[in-house]
Amino acid sequence: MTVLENNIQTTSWNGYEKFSFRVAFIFFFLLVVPLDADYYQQWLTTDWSNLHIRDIGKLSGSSFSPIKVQPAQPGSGDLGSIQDSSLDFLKISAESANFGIASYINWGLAFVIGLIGATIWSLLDRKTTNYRTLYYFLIVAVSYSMLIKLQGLTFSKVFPTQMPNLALTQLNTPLGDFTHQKLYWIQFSFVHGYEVFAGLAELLIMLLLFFRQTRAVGAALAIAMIGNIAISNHTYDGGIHLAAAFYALGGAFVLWRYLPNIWNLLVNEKDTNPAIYHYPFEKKWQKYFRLAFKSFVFLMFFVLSAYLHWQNYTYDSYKVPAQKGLTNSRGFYEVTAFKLNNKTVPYSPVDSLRWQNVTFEKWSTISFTVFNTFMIHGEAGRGKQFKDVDRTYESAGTGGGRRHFYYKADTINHVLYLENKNKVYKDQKLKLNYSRPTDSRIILSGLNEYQDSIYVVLDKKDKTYPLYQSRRQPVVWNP
Amino acid sequence: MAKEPTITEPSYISYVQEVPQDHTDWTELQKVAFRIAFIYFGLFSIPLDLGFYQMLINMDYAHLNYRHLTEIVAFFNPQFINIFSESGFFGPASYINLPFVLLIALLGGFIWTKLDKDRKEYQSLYYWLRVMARYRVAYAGIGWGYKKLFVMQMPTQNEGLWNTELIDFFAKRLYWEVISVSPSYEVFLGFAEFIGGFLLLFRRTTGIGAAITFVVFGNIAISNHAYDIGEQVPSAGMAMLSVFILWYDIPGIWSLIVKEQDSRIVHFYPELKAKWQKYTKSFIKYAFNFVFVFLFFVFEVYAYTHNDFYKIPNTPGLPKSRGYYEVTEFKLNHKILPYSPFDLVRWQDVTFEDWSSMSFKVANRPQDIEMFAAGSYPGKEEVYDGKWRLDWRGDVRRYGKPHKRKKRADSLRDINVTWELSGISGRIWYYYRADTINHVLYLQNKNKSDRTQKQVLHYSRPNANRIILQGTNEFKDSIYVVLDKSDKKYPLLQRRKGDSEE
Repeated sequence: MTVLENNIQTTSWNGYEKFSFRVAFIFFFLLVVPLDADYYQQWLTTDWSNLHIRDIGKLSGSSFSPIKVQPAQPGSGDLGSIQDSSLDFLKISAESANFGIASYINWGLAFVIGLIGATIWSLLDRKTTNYRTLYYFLIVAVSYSMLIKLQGLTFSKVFPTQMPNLALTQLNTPLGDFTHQKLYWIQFSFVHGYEVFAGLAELLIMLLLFFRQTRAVGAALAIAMIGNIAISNHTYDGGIHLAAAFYALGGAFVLWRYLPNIWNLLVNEKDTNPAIYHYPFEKKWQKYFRLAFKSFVFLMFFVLSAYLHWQNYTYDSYKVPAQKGLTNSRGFYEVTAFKLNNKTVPYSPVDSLRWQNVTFEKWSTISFTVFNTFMIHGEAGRGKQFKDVDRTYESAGTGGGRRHFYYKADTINHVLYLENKNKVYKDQKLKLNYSRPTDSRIILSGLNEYQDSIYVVLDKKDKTYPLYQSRRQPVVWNP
Repeated sequence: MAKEPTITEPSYISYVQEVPQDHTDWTELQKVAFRIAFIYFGLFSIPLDLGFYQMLINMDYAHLNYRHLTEIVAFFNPQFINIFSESGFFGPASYINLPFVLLIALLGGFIWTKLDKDRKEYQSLYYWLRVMARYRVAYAGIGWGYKKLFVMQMPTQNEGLWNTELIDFFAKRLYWEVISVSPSYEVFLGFAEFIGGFLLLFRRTTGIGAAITFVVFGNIAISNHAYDIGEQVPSAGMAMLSVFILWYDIPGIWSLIVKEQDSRIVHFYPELKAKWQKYTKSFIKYAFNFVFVFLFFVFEVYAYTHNDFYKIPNTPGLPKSRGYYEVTEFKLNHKILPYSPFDLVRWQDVTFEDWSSMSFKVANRPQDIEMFAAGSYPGKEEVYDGKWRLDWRGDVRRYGKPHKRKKRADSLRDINVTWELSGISGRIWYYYRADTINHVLYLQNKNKSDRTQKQVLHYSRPNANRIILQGTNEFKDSIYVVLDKSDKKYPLLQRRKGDSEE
């Protein structure tokens, strides 16, 4: 009877199983356990009285990356909350290193180390009949590593800060001026319902991985959902495919031992005995230790993380500059008059010096368009930046003619100090006087980035925003 | 380290014997629940809207193609009540028919219980209900999957689109374009839909297939709500049927991976005794699979290889004209108009496509926005009145205009392919017929509100990058326009090339 045979827990593994396990153990150990001292130091150096989501991101692990991949564009290698380890032996840069197969080089390295290590291990350890205890704990380690590393992504979506609202500048930029990566992110930015849903799905995965009974379901969902994210990151040059693919790989590893059973039950339609080994935690101290560990993880990476992300969402959405913009200046402006060195330049969409239109945001960012065929702002706009000038979600991943400046406003002398947000042009600093004769008019004068004197009259324009009004009727578009 | 636990002899042999045999009686509750479920899910598995059958009758079978098959499998759900309101199109009120179907199921179940008192179980009927639900979801998954696998649903992008600002998109359209920008991702999404449906065709892979279609269609239903896509009811219906199919396996899966006990799923397959029964079953099965899996595939391949994408015009445009053009000179009635952000007439820029469409941008001209062909945003005649519309045809927005389904003359195909402007404002789109001997373009506005706007423009092409248009515009004024192809590069197309200024 097949059921009977299946039921007997094979306590003795065959050679092939043992060798595979040793490889897997070393491989996942390298991927899951932080190996750099910096990581552990952070537990001591973190300012626990003023915790920020930056800190919890750093404490949630570090990726195994002895080989560093050079980003194609300055700033584009920023991975957001998941931190690279500080180990650094070799740098590579290749086109496929950013997005393609070569970006998985550190996994390849871990696998080779796994093979070598397993061979040595096999030579040294000839007695052990099975590794089921070790296997159990490896699965726990992979599951917990997954859920702990997921917290940042989860809660920054549940409290939608990972993809904040679109800025006016983005709304007034044509589709062709965005990079693939940016468009992919934008889909979560103009409607937040789906972002929150994705966050809740990730939260569900975290919870399912947290408990032994539901670990297999959590792993399956992680493969389905975050595996999907990994694929989309490949097809959109998203840049965090590696981080996402880890969940698919880890999920597959956790699910692995359940698969034959599921197959047997569903596809073969046979009675099935699960025969899954779990470490029993029989002794008292083991029970307490387990309880303490689980409680710690839950309090730290669910409760505290949720609280910090909520706080961030409420008070200082981390991708949006914090400094308020000029009072009541938010809007889209036509450039009604433009003088260059005291000579009027007529409006023209093909002029590379004359501004065409200008946006002021709620926060201290100003953007203007000139004719420019291609000047990409290559950063990814990820990461949790301190300074407003570095918070580039609004401008990163766009090209075309729109330029973005951070500004400091001296509201007494009516001066704006502008600084280009694109790192390639960070030396461009402008000083412009401003006056506001009416509520809807701003006049700027000063030197532009080429040290020519400019005089610009801006008039606010109310536009129809089909993106936000489309459900109502009738929609007549007023440009 | 703790001592490893000893393994005790399994005690489940007796347990296996306790598992109920195949033909045990059902409890009263099970029977009543089944009767209700049978009616409820049965009604969701077959087309009820009479408009659906009207569509079948009016179909042009001589020119059967993938679009017809898509229409057949993609949407049908009981929808005799239609509410025209924001909630009725996008929100909770769009599900208004579900509670009524449930009410019918409850009433039916009640009457059935009265009439059928001696019945011991419904094993066989349960099996056939699952078969109906399975094939319903399977063909929908395969059909939607094909749409994406062959890059039909989110077709390739165009020059005009790249030169439209984000605010000018409807939410649905922007979401659509996020997917169409990456065809390989679209293909992946299509594969996920396809494989879930395909696995549902086979008995043994039903459980896995239903799990996949549940995740896929559930996700689609939610994105439909988030992005105003408007097909949330059929998608949610598919997810619901997937759960119903999976229901059978859930206790077994739960017992296996959550409780980690010995698990069994008792399958019941009715035996068809008479020969004619077997033949009928095989015939129906193979006939349906032939049409909705194989023939559908062949049609898709044919359309894909014969440039018949239903959202893209297929009349070739002026040779080598595709591109984005600056309007270097614009004369209205022989007077030069300079660029101005306030002008209602002067063109700002122009795009030509691979096909016979031209679009231009006018800085300051209000315009009705062209709606999508079906569903989602309210069309002009679909006034939000919040009234309940009872209609024998069912889904009035889909089946209310049967004449729309008649085959049009081939020459009218492209003017009516309005995907380029559906749910987008910002540009004005014209279809054109080119007389390449006399060098004349006969242009007609593609927007249904402005179809009367026509232009006749003579064209000349002094060099490869310049087009000069001259003639009468849509307001019967004479215009003279010099277009120069821009060397603009789109960041969207400059993939993985790093910094490349100028």
